[in-house]
Amino acid sequence: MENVFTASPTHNKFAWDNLGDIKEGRGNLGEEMPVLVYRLMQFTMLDILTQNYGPEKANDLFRDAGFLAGVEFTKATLDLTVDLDTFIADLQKALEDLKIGILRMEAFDSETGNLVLTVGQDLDCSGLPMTNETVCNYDEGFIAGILETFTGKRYDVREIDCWANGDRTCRFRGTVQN
Amino acid sequence: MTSNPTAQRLFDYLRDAIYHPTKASLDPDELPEDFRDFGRGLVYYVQSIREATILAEDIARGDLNTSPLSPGNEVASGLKSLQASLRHLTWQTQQVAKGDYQQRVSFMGDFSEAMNDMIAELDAQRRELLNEVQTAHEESEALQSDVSRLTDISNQDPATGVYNRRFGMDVLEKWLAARREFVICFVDLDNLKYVNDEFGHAEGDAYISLAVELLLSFSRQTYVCRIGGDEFMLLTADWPEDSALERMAELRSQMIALNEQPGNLYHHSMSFGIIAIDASNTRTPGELLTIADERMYSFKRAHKAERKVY
Repeated sequence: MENVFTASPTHNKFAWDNLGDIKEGRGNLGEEMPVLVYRLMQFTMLDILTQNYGPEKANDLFRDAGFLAGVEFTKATLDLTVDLDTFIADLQKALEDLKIGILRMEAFDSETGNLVLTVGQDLDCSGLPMTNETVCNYDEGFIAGILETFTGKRYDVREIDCWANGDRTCRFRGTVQN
Repeated sequence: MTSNPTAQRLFDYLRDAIYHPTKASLDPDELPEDFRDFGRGLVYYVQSIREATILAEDIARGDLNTSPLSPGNEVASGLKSLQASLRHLTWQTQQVAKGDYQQRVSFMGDFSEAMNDMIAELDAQRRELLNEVQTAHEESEALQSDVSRLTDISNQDPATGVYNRRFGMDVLEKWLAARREFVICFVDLDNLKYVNDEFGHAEGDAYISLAVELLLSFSRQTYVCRIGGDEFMLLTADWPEDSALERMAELRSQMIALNEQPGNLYHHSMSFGIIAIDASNTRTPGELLTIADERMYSFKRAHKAERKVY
């Protein structure tokens, strides 16, 4: 028997509205959860992806997922009609409000659009044991998605310092792609 | 001093690392096997400290863009965080310098609070200054408007609204000084005394207003000045004398035509004298007005017979 009322899009295709009404759905437990759970999901997923596709492909997939998240997050929560300075201030506040991380701009070249920023106390890697590798591939995509959505320019974002590499600061360089 | 050569070698290395870091050298492979890992760890630690020292010196010099650290140098991670904070504060300061007061510093303790307070205070002062500039601008505009209104009043004949004698003489003097070519029309309203005496000053004023209306239609670029009770001076540039005479005759005809209207109480008419001035003029304003006045009287005498008495 076909139920026409549930003929909605699949959850395998991301849509912001499909995140659901968390407040209503978690009436007792609330909208927040420990970062531990976020990392549990993220690193088990990374493990399985790595087992199936190898570390390079797994990191690429994480970067792509982060990019999608950055695009959708920006479109859903930020004002795209403001100037760059206002956007950065809004973004900094939004990332803190949602406890994603502490965004700090270090440099912005107004001619090229290239920039350097840090994300402190971030969800992915702050406090991780040192492994001599950069692990914030998801964040690279996330930041690229945000920048690309606001500026309309294609960005390549790379993590140049990472907590997991012993740096205590995750620093990203965003370069506009021609 | 110790009798154990390995202990002495390690002691010397540690001393050099502290006091002569550029000289400090230790090859762990030369140590007894049991000490090699310890030696490697010690070399790594000393190198980490050395890099941290270089980074600290760079920061102290204000050079925030160096990266002397090897990957994974946790000993220097605190300094690297400090470097990151200072780089961020540098960007923040640059933002404030270019007028962006929206950014805020987070989680840097008292410094965040002090910096954010300073930015907020600068923004408040900027807004206050902008308000003061706006208020001053509005006051200036109001003052300018008052000055403009007062100037208009001081240049106007209050009864008719046309320019007064003072303004007319100013223009005459300026045009003479600028060697302009122009025409002076000296106009006298006929019978004004008779109208005032017979029909009262209200009727006399209406007669003057009628004359003003006609004179203002001479041309849009003409200055019409009331220089006496029944006397007017018209200053008009770029009109040849003949054309000005024709134009004045036309206006006079329009006035005389009013005499034919039913119920007309008195004879409407005006007399005029015209003088053209060119760049070679050497006469004074007073002399020019006297000539124009004489020509007006000649005109008046010549047309005396036309005037009816009611």
